Amino acid sequence: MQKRLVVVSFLFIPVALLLLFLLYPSLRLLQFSLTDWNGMSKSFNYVGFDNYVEAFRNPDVWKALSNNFLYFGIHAAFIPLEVMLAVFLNNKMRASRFFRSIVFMPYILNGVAVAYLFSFLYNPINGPINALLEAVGLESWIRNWLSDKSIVNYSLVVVSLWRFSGLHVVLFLAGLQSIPNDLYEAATIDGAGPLKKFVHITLPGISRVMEIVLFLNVRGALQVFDIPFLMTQGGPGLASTTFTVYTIQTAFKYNNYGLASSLAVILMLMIIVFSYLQGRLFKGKGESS
Amino acid sequence: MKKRNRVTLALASALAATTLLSACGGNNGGEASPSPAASGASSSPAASKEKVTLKMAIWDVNNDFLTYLDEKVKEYSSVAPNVTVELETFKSDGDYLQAMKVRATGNELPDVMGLKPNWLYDFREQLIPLDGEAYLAQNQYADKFAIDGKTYAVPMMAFPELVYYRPSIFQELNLQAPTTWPQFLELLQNIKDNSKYIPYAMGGKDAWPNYPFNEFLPQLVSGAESYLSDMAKDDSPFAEGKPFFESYKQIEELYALDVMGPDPLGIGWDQATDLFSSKQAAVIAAGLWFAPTYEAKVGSIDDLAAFPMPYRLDESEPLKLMMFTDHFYGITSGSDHQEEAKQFLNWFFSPDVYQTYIDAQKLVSTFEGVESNVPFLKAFYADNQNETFSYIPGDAEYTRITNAIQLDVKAIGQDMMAGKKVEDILPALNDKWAKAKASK
Repeated sequence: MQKRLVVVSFLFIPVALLLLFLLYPSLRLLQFSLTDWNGMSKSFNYVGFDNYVEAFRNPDVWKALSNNFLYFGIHAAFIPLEVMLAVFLNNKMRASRFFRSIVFMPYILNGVAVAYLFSFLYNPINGPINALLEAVGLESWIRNWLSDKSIVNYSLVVVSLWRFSGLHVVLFLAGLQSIPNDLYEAATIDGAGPLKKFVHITLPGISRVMEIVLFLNVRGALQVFDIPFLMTQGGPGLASTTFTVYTIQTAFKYNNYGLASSLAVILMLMIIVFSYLQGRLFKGKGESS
Repeated sequence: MKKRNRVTLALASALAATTLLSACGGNNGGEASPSPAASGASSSPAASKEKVTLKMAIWDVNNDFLTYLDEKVKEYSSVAPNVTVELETFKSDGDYLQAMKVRATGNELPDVMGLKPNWLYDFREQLIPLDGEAYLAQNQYADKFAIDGKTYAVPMMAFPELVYYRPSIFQELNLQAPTTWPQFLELLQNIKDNSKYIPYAMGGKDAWPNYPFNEFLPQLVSGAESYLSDMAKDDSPFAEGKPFFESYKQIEELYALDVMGPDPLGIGWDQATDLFSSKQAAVIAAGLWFAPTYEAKVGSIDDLAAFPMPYRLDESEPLKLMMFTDHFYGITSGSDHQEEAKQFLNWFFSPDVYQTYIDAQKLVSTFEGVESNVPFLKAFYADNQNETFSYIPGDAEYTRITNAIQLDVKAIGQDMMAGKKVEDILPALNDKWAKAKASK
């Protein structure tokens, strides 16, 4: 009995905090998503699933979502490269410690600072990128990096890659270091080449990390906010608006908390569904090999 | 095992219930508390001596002004020794608005808050009517912004919307200030042909710097101060032949001239003003509030002049000057100290105090009997005697429709700068508008 009392009293605070700051706001979010609340007035009406219908019908929402998928796709395409980089850094190369910290640096930098840094680099007037292109005789490559609608999203994805790839590399590196060396030695004795070792030892060895990185990628790509918000405010027009930027603007610029709440719920569901699907896909592969 | 599970479940649900209940309890307490305190303050004279702290919030880009205001409101303690005014300041109106909206939901607004004219409808539930206060009779603009006959806030300043230029460039290229739209386009084209200066400095990346065109031109072209509210009564306000369409065709002509430098969408407002201040660009449109910023950057206003936005097509129409009123002050309905706040505003709007306010702002006075000392403005009015055209925000219905369709005229401006045609933008907008208007 006393033991139970101790357990309950120890659990009380964390559970209460969890209920108060996680469950209660989430329930309120669900509630608001079914209303036409404008975020300020003291009353609101329940409108059923109108907000969800509106969200699915609105072409701007889909446009924003397609921008998110661009982040997702390009980040996913870079994962093999990140694994390769991690393998290089894991090997006994010169100054690998130095390179490891360099790779991780962008992630430590403040997101706002990164956004301003790249805004400066992309600057059309005296911008370093255009100046560099000019210096090496590639004037024809000069673009309006942040104002050309067909380019702006790629410019922003590059910033995101620069910022987050380092984190992925470090995670992969941790995974690689957790693989016992004996396995490689045994494989060498059995006559396995580097490729076979990579496919049969390294890849399964980092599968947990891979899962985490893929989850981070889904979550990060669907929630990407600070880079477009700070660098272009989603512009020009709606060209670089992402799902979260659109949600924030719906809530704070257009006072439509109902619709914004439903967008937030949809985002939550999307992350859960995509992570689940990815997990299934990945687990299936892991078991078969 | 089963029994233990049940116990855990019961405990957990009890916990959930207490947490939720306590959260609700906190809410109720917060809402209920203002009334007894407020009535106590107004009924008994003894209570008025109790120490009161009034919270006040405002935004301004100008740091000097915010410093001035912070000092000024402290002086109120010498008038009412029991009252201290605490000023909270924000550098940008966007951040300010966001903070105030969040606080409005939590019933945590300051006692006295600043507002922009287009926020009045959104915040009207949170404000108390100021009708009957003596200073209202002195304010030249307040009644124009009354909602359902009630005045919720009082504007502290007004300023004309201008098109600034560098007279030395105009002299060098032998150019005249334009008074019609075709002359304006010709002027910019001439500067472009000369190729020494960027004709117009547009910080298109920030979207908002195109407001003199994309936001204000339809209103000016319509000729009606109530244009935005009138739009809400129209099923297709963006149709061809109507002010919105016609003015956007004018703007399209301007953007198509390619007179805004190599990449108008790639640079923001700060860079655009840098181009203008460093005499790389010849023309820039903004409110009178830009003149102090320019003066701070360049050191003097010797090489700065302005003309009214030449929106008219020919000289047969009158050329009106857009006048924007700003820094509205109101008292919040959730305030515990409404009486003290009212007394404070009476002091704040009194001529002696107000004179210092408007001089610190270097803008136009909104109170009769007070004149601001702005040499630049005096020079401008000496050359331009235009009829003024007040910016009046749209009514509740206009706000509802524009929020529902997420109308952002400045983002449309960006699209237009990127080459999108008016004919491709406005018909779709008409459809959305009609649908949103019908769904009430």
